Amino acid sequence: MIKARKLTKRFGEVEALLDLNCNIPQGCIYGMVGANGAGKSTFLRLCNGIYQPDAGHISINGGEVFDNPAVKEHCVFVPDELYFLPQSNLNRMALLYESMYPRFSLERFADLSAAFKLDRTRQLNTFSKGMRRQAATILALSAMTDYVFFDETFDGLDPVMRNLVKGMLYDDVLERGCTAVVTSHSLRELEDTCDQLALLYQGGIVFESDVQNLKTSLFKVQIAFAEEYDRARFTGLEILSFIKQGSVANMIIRGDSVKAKAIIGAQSPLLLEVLPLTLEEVFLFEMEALGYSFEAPALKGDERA
Amino acid sequence: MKPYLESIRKLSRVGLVLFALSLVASAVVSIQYCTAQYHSNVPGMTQMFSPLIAFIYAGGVVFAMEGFSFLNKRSDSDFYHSLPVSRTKLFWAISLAALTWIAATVLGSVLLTVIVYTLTKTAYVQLFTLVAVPFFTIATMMVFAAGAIAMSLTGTAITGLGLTVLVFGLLRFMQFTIARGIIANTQIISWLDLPWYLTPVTNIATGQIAQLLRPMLRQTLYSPFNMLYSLVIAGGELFLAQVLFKRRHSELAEHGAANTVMQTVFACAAVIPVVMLFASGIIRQRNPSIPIVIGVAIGIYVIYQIIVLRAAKKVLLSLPWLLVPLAVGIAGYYGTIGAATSMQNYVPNTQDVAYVQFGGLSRGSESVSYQQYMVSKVRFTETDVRQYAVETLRDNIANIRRTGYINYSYDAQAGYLLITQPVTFVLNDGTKFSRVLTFLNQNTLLNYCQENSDFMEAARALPPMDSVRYLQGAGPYQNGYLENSKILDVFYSELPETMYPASDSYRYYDPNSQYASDEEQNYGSLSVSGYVGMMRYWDNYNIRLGMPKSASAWMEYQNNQSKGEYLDILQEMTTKSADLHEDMDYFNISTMVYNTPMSDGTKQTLSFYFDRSPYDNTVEMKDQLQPLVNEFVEILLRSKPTTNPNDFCVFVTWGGRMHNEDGTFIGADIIAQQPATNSDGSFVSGGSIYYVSDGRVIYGGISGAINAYSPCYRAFSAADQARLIEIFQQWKAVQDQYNYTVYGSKPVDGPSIGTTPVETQTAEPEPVG
Repeated sequence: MIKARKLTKRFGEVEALLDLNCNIPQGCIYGMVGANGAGKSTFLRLCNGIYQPDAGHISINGGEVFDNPAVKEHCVFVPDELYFLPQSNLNRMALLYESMYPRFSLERFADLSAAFKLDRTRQLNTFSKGMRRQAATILALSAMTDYVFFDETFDGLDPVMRNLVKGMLYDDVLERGCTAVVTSHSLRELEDTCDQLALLYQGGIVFESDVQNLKTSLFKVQIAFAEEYDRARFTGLEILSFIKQGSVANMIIRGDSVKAKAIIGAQSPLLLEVLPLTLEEVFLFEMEALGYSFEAPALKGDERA
Repeated sequence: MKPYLESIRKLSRVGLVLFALSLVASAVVSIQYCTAQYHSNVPGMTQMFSPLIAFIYAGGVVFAMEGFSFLNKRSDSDFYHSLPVSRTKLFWAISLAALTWIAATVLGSVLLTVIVYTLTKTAYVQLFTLVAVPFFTIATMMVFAAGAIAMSLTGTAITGLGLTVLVFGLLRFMQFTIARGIIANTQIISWLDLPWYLTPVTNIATGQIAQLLRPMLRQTLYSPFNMLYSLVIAGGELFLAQVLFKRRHSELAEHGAANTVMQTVFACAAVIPVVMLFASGIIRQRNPSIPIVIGVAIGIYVIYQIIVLRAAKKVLLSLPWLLVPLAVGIAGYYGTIGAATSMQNYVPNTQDVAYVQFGGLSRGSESVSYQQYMVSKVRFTETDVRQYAVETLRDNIANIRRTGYINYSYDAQAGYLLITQPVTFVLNDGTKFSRVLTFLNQNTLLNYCQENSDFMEAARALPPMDSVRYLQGAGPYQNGYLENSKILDVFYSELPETMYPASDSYRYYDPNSQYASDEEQNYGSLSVSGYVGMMRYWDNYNIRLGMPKSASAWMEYQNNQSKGEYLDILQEMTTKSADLHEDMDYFNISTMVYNTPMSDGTKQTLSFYFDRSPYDNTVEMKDQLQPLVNEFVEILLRSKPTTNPNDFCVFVTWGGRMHNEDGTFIGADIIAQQPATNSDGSFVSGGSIYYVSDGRVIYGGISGAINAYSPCYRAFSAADQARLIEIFQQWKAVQDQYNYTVYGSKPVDGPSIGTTPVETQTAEPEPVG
């Protein structure tokens, strides 16, 4: 389990992470989403002992990570900017990983290389950006660690390869109980991959939830009545957003959609339709509800209140 | 073990290149040296392993920059710091891998050098081989450690390199400038007399640079103490680098410094080498260079800060910190003056001095004389010596105060007897200090020194015969060595039978006679060089009449070398020299006359010289000398070679180029017989050669020139001797009248020639061997 408590990291006057708390359970794929500069990469670097926290703690399986090889041998990191030894090929890199990671599997390395159809003897600096990302993923997964950290890794893969990687990741999680932490600035990338999602905003996790719960926790209701009405009419419902144009109103409601539909239906609307939200919309409205805004100021306003 | 092997692999790219380059350079330099035609002495460490001196800096910096290169790039830094290996282990894995490559390169280069020397039968100090490997490895590791510190403190290659230079050299440069300031201000302290904490060579890596600036330091650079000291420093620096590496923030990658405070520290450090010039004694008060130095210091500081801070306001705010290095410079200025004055003022009482030692005048030269080396170990406890040294120290200081520098030129006669000697004073409490003193009378000093039996033994000591590597500049496998070895053997066997010191450095000095009288008469000198342990010596033994067997062996060698003197040509040229017309024609003759009887009963060596050319403005004198020279040559034709150094004998060298009436050269037939090559085998066009009487063609010159450089020692019949003395009396009178000599052996108020009849010849010394 990865546990962060009041985790703080500063770069000069910039607070990249501030009092961040989170628990990432074993055997899940944990997605972390946030805008550029939200602190995703910093968090992963702290998870991998690259950075030392300025305050707070981060531990994996109960052990502090920074400069702790006993913990770090359970972690492998695929950063956004990849590193390969100069003039090296995959075999040379495998040699390096093997010398560092005690459970590195040459057999798996061979299998993965074959699956990705990468030439292990070809110099890595001749690879395309996507191929280099595949190579880094192969090496990381061959290290057979308990924790794998991907920093926007999927963003650079084509759909076929993305699915291939996801498939391998699922296998690892299911078969070995491995934990994967994946960051992205695109929620759609993580939507169908992760078990849990966290939203990182200005150095802190502002929202964290199980993906399945998250998807069903909010829903949109489109209604229309013959008479004039406002949001006060719908007592008993937790309405996060109420936007009315003419006689038609759109409501974002948290709770049980069946129950909500029954309450509204009892008021004989001209139109009643329950619509699912995309994960991105769910995040936005949850953020709004928490008082955060990372979109244009126009999102705030009386219309939504 | 795995991180270490991985680091070995990582460094292999640059490691193999440096290894190959070092080997090639070592092979080239060694082959170049070993195949050179002439060696006078065994090479020193610096000469023998010069490619490794470059490797110290190239290797140290390159391995540090390559080994820790990942610290300069964020992605690389992230990767290495994410690996499951502790920072401490990672640091030592890289450092040990660098050490492995460095040691392998040094070992390979040293072995290759030794192989080349051995195969070419070139003499070298064998102990150097054992010393060179740890020496150059430690020195390179010192540079590596400085690089490791720098790389741990910064995050770009350029700042890393700059900081490496500062870490490596800043303190040592400060030390060097302070030492220089003290030397310049005391005037009686040499680089070799500084206390250990001011000596530039204790740090063997920076010491290599110091010895290039001050070659005298070469003698002490390779000492075991310096290596041990440097090993400790290198270890300490590596440990510091490891601590910094462990504490280093990964986010420093791609940034010059962790923060503006560190930037300012770096800027101040960059200024210090400039302001330390104040401490060096180069810049004096009221010197116009003071504002220039301050201006340069400010310029460096401001430019550096502008580059790294990129904000005028921040630069302005940091300006007050510039006062820190300026204060260091001013403190250095007054500090060195104060320290120098304090050192200069210190004069112990004679009774407080336990003993003194004399390091020897040439202690800083590439190789010292064996006797000087032996004398340098002698402890002079005698009161006379101690007192003379203390008085001289006091007098030297007073002289500096009076004239601003050591200046004893007020007495021309005394000036000849001045001698400068490095003196180490050891006090009763064990305190030791050294000064370079100017003694007013070297004979007085020698007189006092001779009270010490150890000195007498040391001054007469000869190096072990089997340690001699070069004789007369020839190696043991060359003819020159073999031909002269007989003289050396005789010299070694004869010296102990006499009371003479081996080296002229320990003889009483007579500025008038210049050793040209009686048994002091000099027939030649033997150049001997070799090594004992790691000490390389280079001796010159003058062969004097006082050692007749050696002198006889020398004469025999010279006579054997002289394969044909062509005295008939000499006579022809001498006669015709009175009337030279061709522009390039000339004639000269030089004669050393041994055992010339003098009016005071002594026998002296005198020199006589005569020359002619078409445009001579001393015709009057030459016309007076011409008949004397003609007659001398005529007598010379009747003379016979001699090996008896007690004979009244001459040693005549001559040269000339002269045309016959028909336009041919005098001696053209002899010239034509000579091989048309130089001594080094290079081609010489027909006739354009100098000819020497031992049959060697020595170099090309103007056409038709003949030089007879290697004659026999020649003795005369009693009647000819009598006539020759008369000739030389007249010749000398003319020479004196016109002040016309080449060798300058003209006693001002000395005895005259030949008023005493020539005595019966002394018996020839027993044959040697």
